[in-house]
Amino acid sequence: MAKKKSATPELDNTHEHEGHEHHDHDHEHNHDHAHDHDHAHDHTHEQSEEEKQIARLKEAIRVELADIGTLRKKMTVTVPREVISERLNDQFSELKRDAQIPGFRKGRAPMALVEKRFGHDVNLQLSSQMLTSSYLAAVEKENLKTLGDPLIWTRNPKATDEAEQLVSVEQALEFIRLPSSGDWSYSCELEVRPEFELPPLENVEIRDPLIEISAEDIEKQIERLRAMRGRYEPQPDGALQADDLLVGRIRITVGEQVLLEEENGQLAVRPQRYAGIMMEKLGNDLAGAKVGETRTTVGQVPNDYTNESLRGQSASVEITLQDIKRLLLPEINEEFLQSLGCTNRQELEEWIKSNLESYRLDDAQNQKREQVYKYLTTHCQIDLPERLSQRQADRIAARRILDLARRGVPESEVMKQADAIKVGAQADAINDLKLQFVFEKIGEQWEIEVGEEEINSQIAAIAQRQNRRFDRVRDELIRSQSLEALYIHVRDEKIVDRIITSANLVKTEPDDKDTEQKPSKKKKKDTGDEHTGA
Amino acid sequence: MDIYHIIKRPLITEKGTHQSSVTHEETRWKVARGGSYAFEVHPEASKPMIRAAIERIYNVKVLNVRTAVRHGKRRRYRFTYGNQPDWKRAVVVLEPGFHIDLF
Repeated sequence: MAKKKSATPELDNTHEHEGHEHHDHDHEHNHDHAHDHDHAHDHTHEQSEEEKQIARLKEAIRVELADIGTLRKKMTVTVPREVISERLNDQFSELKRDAQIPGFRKGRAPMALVEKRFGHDVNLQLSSQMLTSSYLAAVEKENLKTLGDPLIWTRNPKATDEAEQLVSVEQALEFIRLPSSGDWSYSCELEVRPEFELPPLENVEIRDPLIEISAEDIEKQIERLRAMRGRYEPQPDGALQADDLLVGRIRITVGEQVLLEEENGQLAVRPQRYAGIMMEKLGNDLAGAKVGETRTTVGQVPNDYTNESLRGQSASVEITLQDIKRLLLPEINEEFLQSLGCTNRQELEEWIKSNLESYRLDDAQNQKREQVYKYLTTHCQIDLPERLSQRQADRIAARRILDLARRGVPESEVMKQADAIKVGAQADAINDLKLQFVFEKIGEQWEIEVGEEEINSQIAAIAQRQNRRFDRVRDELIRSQSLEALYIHVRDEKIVDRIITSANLVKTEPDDKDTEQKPSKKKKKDTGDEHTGA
Repeated sequence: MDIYHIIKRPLITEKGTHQSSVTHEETRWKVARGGSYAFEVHPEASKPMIRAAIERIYNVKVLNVRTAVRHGKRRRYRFTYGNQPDWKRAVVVLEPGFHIDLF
């Protein structure tokens, strides 16, 4: 019984590690160096064997190609019987040498018995091998630049109908079997890379926003820092002013329906959305109110409100003031400066200026990059394979719908927006794919190479941002197979930077100065988090 | 006893394969005489019964039947000893010109 069991793993072993079986490591002591050497030798041997097989197949197979759409082809591959028989014989003779069958010494079992016993497994294994190698050989023979895996026409042996289905390679491998006689033929559908001309990449006209930090900008930042360090003081006798914080009883009604009734609700006195209701006139209607007073303002139920029947209606917001709190800003004195790590005002202003400059430089660089992306997508005429762009669009749409669901948007609302999301995703997918092909082509043309140290520095940056260990982040990237995406990101950045360096930069006024952030907070970069967050 | 109860299974072994691939005539003086096929048979089956059963099942002419009772091995499970059952092996020599395709 024990012997019987060992026969099957023996078979698996033989086939999974072709090329290894000739080198039995019989020595018991560890010779690491010699061992490594043997494996390296095996690997090259295996590779060259496989290449040889594909080269032989390339000559033997017959391939028919037909166009069936944009960048879509149907390929019929016929593998002659001689090739199949030769491969079967090779497999069985190799197997015969090592097969352990009860009643026979190792390697002494007759071929007929080996074929009968392992025939099914060998056919299974060989059919998947032949499918892969013949497909690769056919692609090489026809000089095709394919995109992704092909879809294969197969007949499901378990299905009742005889019709052929178009299935993925993984599924096809389950169904496809080599015929016992005659040539073997199969059809597959594949997508090929688009051919296109690159636009001129030198002297591209790019707007370069001027970076000027005015005294007013610095003053605004100082005010912001003061506001961050300010505290709210109760004003029991004062009248309500804009930007004060009110504490009171809040009652929101739409018609007869009470949406909210709460004690000690806190609201800043400025136009805002509270409990889902938009209150535009809050600041004006409550100005001058004192503690104990009740005022009413009008709100609007927005179109994305959870209760559909109330959308678009006006709401009445009744507020009874219980307390008024006002923000007291700290003085710009030594204590305030020290809390920011500065000794005097001039130092603080310089620090703010340098932070603002670096932020705006980043922003300007991003704007330039956006312009390069736009230039490349608008100046390249690329036909995209339908299936690929559809897949990409589906992925983007699915991600956006999931995002909406995560943000708590009700499912009925998501379903309503799904069509719009899908249309938007389609356009984005086309742009993404276009850029992908363009960058790939530029990368090849300019022979852009990304070194290991560049990848490592990116990983280190991600690790630093997430406050995690470098090796953990790297392992996670490897596990989630995002390392390739990181590589592509670095390559694309290098290409864009090179285009910007050789571009014709036109100095312009910045688009929007007020979009700046707090100077102490660095703008979050988009790549690393995307990769690790996945 | 039914013929399919008499012949339990053919014994496909290295020696058996060798014996079936050479003729009886050219190896009759050797230990592993050719033209013969080994089977596991019912322990109570006699040589004539085995001969008849083989002739019926495989449609061949039997020259000679040799039998041997293989005693079961002693086996231990934890602290208990037991015996595997005895079984009967039959080597059937066919008349020249006859052949059984076992696999």
